[in-house]
Amino acid sequence: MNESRNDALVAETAPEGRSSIRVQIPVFEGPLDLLLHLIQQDELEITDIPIAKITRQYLDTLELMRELDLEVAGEFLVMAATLMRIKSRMLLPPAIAEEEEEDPRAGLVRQLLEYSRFKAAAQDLNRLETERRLHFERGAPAQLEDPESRELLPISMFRLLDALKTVLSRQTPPIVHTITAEPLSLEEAMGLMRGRLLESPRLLFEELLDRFVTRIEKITAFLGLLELLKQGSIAAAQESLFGPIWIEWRGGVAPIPAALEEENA
Amino acid sequence: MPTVKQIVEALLFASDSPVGLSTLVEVLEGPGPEETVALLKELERDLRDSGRGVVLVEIAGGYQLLSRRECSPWIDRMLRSRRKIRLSRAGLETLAIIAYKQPITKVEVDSIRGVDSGGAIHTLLERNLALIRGRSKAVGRPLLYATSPEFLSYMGINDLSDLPELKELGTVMEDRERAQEEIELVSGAEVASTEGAT
Repeated sequence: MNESRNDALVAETAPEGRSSIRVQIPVFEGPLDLLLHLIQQDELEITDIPIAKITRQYLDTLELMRELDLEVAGEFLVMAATLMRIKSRMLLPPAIAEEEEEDPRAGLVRQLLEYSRFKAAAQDLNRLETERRLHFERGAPAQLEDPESRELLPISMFRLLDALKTVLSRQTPPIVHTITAEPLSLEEAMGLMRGRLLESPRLLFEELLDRFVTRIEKITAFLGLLELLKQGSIAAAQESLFGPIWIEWRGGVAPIPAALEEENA
Repeated sequence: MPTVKQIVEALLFASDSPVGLSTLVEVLEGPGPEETVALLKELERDLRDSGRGVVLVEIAGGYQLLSRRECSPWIDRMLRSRRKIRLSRAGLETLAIIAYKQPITKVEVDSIRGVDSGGAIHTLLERNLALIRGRSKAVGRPLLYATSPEFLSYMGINDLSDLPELKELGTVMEDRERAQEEIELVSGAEVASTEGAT
C-alpha cells in the first residue's frame, strides 16, 4: 500500500487482483461508489482520507476509463474537481485558509458516510430479495426450456475489469511472424463473440477473450462485451464471489450492427 | 360441508397474491378477525408440522401460501429463465434510499448516490416496486417517490417497520475515536445531505 507502488501503476496491472485501478461504469454506479471502493481497497479511514493519494488514484481510474473509451459521466468529473479543490485547500496553511475552521474534507466525508449507509441498506435489501426469491407464489408459468441454465450471481463492473486486467497481464505468445493485421473493429469483435456463444452458450470470460491476441484486440473485445451486455444479448455472472466469470448467451432481439448485416447478406 | 380451515386454505390457494385479513373475514361471513387469525395460525402450524411443500406466510399486510424455501432448486429447474431478473445494484441502492427516506424527490436520491438515478427510478416504477406519492411543495413541485405494496411482497416483509434498521453514521466507523470525531462532524449532516451534492 505504499506510495511508490501506486506511482508505478498507472494503467497497468498488479499481481493477483491487488490492482490499484478499478473502473466503475457510470451507468451502474457513481463517483461516490468509486471513491468508497478506493478507500476500502487501501483500508483507509473515511474520516481521514489521504486526499492527494486518493485524488491520484481517482484520476488514474478516470484515465483508464477514457482509455477504454467508456463514457465518463459528468458526475465523475465534478467529483474530480471537488477532490482537486480539497487537495489544494489542504495545502494552504490554516491561517490562510478561508474563515471557516472546518476540515476541507468534511463535506465529502459527510457525503461518503451518508452514501455508505445506503450502500449497506442496499445490501440488506439484496439479502431480503435473495431470501424471498427462494419462495414461489402460485401463478408462475410452468415451462421447460434452456436446460443448461443455472442461476448465477450478478457481477459487478469491478470484477469484469479485474478479469480484463488479468487477461491483459498474461504473457502474450512469442512472435513468430509479424503480419500487419487488419485492425479489428468493434462490430467484428462482437460478431466473433456472438458466433462463439451461439455455439456454446456459456463460456468462461478468459475463454472468450483468449481468441483475441493483441492487447488492443482484447480491449476491443472487452468493449464489445460491454456493448453486448448493455444490449442484453449476453449476461456476465459468477457462481460465487471471486469465482470464475461466466459469459452467457441470452440471445433474443439484439440488433445486429449494420456492418455484420451486410456481411451476412 | 368443508371446515372453515379448509375454506381458508382453499382461499389462499386460489389467490396468487397476499390476501388481507379483512378480505378473509368478509368472504367467510362468520368468524371474526380474531377467530380468523387463530385459524390462520393453526393452518400455518398444520402445514409446517406435516412437512408440506408449501408454507403460510404473513407478507405485505396479508397472508399467502408460498413454496417451501428448500424446494426452490426444483422450482427453479422447472421455471428456468422465466423468472424476473434481480434488481441491479443501482436499482437496489435507489430502492433503499426511497424505502428509508420516503417520500423523497429524485434530486434528493441523486444527491445521496452522487449520480443520476433517473434510469433506476424508472425501472423501479416499471417493476411496480416504487410509485409516485405526490408532489413536493419545494420549488418546481418535484414528484415524490415512495415504495409500493408490491415492494413489501418482493422483499418478503409484512410492513415497512420490518426493514432492517438503517445503520447510523457512527457505526460505520471502526475506530472509536474517529467515530467520536465523526459524530461531531456530522451533526447537521441531515440538512446538508438533502440539499444536494457539491
